[in-house]
Amino acid sequence: MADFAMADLGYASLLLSLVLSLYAAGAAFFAARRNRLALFASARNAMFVIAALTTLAVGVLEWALITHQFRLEYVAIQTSRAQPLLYNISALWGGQEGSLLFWAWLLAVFTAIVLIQNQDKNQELIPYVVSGLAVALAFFLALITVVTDPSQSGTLILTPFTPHGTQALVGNPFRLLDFTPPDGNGLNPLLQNPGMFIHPVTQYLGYVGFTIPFAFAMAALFTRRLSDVWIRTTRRWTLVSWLFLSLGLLFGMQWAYTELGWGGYWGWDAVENASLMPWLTGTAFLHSVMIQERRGMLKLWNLVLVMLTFILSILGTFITRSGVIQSVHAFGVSSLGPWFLGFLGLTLLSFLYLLFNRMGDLKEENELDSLLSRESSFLLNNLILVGAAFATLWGTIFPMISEAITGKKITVGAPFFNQVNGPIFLALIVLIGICPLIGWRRATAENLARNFLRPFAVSLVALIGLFVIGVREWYGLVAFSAVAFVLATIGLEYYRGTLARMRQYGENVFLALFNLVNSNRRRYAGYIVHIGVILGVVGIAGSSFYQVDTQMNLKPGDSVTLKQYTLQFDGLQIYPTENHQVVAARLNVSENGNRVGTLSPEKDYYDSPDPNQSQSTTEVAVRTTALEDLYVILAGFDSKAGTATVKVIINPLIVWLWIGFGTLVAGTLIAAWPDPREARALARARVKEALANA
Amino acid sequence: MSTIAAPTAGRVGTVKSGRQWKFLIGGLLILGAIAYVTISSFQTNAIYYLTLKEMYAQQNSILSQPVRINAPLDKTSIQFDDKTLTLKFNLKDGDLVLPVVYKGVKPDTFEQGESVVAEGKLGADGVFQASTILVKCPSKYESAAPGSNQ
Amino acid sequence: MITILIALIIIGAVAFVAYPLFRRTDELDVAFVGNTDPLWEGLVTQRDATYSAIKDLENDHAMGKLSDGDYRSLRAKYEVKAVALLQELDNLNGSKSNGRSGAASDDSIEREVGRLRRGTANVSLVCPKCGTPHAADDVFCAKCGTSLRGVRCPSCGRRASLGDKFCGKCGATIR
Repeated sequence: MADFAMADLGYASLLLSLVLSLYAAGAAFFAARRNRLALFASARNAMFVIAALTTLAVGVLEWALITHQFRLEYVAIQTSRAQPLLYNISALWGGQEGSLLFWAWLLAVFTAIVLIQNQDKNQELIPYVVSGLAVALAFFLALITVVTDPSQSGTLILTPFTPHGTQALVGNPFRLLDFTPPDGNGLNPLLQNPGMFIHPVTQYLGYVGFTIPFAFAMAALFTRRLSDVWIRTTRRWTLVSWLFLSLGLLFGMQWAYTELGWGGYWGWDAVENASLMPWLTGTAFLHSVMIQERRGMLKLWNLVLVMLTFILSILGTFITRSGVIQSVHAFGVSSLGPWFLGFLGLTLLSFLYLLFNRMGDLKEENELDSLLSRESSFLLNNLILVGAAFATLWGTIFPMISEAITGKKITVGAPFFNQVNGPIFLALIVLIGICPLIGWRRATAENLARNFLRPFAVSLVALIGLFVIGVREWYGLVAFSAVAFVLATIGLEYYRGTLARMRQYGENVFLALFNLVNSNRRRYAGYIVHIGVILGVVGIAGSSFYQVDTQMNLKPGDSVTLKQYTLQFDGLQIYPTENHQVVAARLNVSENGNRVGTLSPEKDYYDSPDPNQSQSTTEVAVRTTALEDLYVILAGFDSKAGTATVKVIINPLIVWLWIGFGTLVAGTLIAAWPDPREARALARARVKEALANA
Repeated sequence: MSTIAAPTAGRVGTVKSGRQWKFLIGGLLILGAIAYVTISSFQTNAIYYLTLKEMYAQQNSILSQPVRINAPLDKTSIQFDDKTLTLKFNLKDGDLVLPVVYKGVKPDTFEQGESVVAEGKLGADGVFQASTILVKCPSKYESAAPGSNQ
Repeated sequence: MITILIALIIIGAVAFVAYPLFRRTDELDVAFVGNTDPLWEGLVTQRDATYSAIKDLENDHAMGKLSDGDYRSLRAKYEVKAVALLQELDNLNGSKSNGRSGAASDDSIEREVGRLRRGTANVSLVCPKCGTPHAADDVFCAKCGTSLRGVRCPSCGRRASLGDKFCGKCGATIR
């Protein structure tokens, strides 16, 4: 009976949370309008209770998943006895209902954190922030506890008269079956990959994280407190959420590369685009807030950007769940689509209304000093990033629009996205290189020209060098020269900055470098992030432009050759492991005639009680070097004849994509790290004042 | 609000609007360029997305044009030659049947696929030469649970 | 069994949420929405922005991105602006804030900038009553509860600075 009890407990916690969040939304708002601290304290308590209750619900679901409570429909679908513990745990966010709960839980916890962070400050904004976040929470909780599928239950929302009661709830992870299955279905083996564990988590952390800055933006608009207080308060939230979106992209690409077995990592699939677009606008936002903080400009633009980022995050989850857009990743069609659209629409409308209403409060404090200034280059950066986001959005949702309007579905594939975004990102790379050369406010043209020369010379040298070693395609030459240009620019920034410090403060080179980064953390950590982006570009350019492949059917002893590699087929190896059967093709790899190792691409066969479950997965074998990946797929085999058909791919420079991401993460962490210098300086000032006043 | 803004604005009034124009024009140019690239690229890459019925209705006009067909998979028709990596199958929607040929690695989930999105060209011989195939599993993360009410 | 547990949870949650509504609240109620003046906030923001602008200019000049002429003219412009901002803040907060009158303001800017470059801040951030440090936008001292915001003279309404005993304008006693 424990399963029944726990399901009830879980559902009850969430229903109570829904009620409390609606209460908190109203109470916090009313408390701020009427200046009632007690009411706000009550709303505050409610949010803490919600955080606790959702944690309880998550705990209950995890318990059910881990202890195989197959009476719960969700557990029966997502897990099985044979499934490794890791994937039973990750099943929490692996399915539709669980992911909704996961999202709500994250949002509840984040809200609690925001409350704790702002205990003694921002009292003018916080009530409205809480109110907004409570509304968003209520939405997700309602999807779980109250929304039904009209085609199944006859009602839109759960009522006492809904047939099947809580079993009719679309988003309810605690739905019970009429009987207890002896075993569950388990995850599709294709999904049993470490990526399943980490990619959705980081992706959701990023999506949900951006709700916070957006809530602050709405509160700032509402209270007309449109100086940059809301930005500074949420700076770390923005940075960390952006970091998680980046990690989401990284792990998604990694997973696709190692698991899907087609040698690529990005297909411009709708769900992939959904994770890219908020990242693009989030990047633009990260840059443009620096302009607002320095010059008090672009207030309107920043509000719009943070709204866009939030909307695109929700849009992303809508695309994944509604089945409206075709995708390999989609959760499958559910009836929740229209609800998300409704939420999106309402949020957009209320934001726009507030914006137009408060337009008069959005006074610019400055104008741009010059077209040739870092501010303009940041503006250009914003235009490019938002342009790319819109182009991607256009390609992604156009099928939906064309079908709604003309009845015909028109789609575009990878070629469209590559054609449009390729040049856009190339322009962005060049901009990354030029921007550090330009000073804030104004750059003297002659100085810029002078500073431009050395990196430009480096890129020319690189261009010639590339040409000499045999790179002839214009896109390769352009891309890699641009990369060289940027690396030279950033290198020069570090060099000159360190030198200037050494001259000014007499520090040695290491101390100067360390202090340089420490005292100008945003800038120099930002350069590290840029280096990461550039390295990523190197990986993308190499693997996109210069990939080669071949395939061959091999008898034991046969060899297949691709460029300098020769792979000799030893034979098929067939053996069982704990939950699957392995068919591997053992290949001896030689490079330029020298033995360098073995690769064994596999096909794994899983047993599953459900005939509809995928029964085989392809496990590719990869040999990575700094220069290229040797990527081998077992595409087919004949176990009786002992032959195998392998596809061999060489992906040049792809490891730099992962290294680039790692560098990006490191740079972001440095930028986000709390600055002990700030705290020390503040403390010093306080002590001085205390002494002066004593 | 502040008395700072007023004198500055007054002093550089005309200069300010001159500079603003430059930015506005520059920004519009860039956005225009991006929009142009987007739209023109879209037109050259746009592909119709059809069901079998729609495809047969327009057979003649789409012959040798890139299209995407979305149709249920006939699981009994799957043939895979692992030596040449050629996958042959039929898409079946009611009475309509379309033979498809795809050269490449067979997706792992193919046999369990409910429907297939095939991108390619319809040949004059009535066989669809697919360059890309996308397999859709029955509600991918959620297969029919034993005895569930789905 | 589980119904009892659920009922207990509901009761506990509602109690916790309702509790603040029944507690006695005192003068905190008045100050709840806080009296951080948006005007003051805006000026402080602009002031900090101007300081960082000057710091940037120095950096850019040192790194050779800005010519001497451009540097001088831009810097002069921002110094003028900073002086004006400091004077506005002065009027708002009383003499305890940064900067004196126009004549000495160049020096204060230099000092300010110098301090900034060496990484020290320059804001009075201690409670006037007990001396405990507090954060920039605190409303009350966490230790002794004194209001940290400027009080107004009850007679003429002019803002008095922290710790003032008499109004600087009309001489009335300030508590």
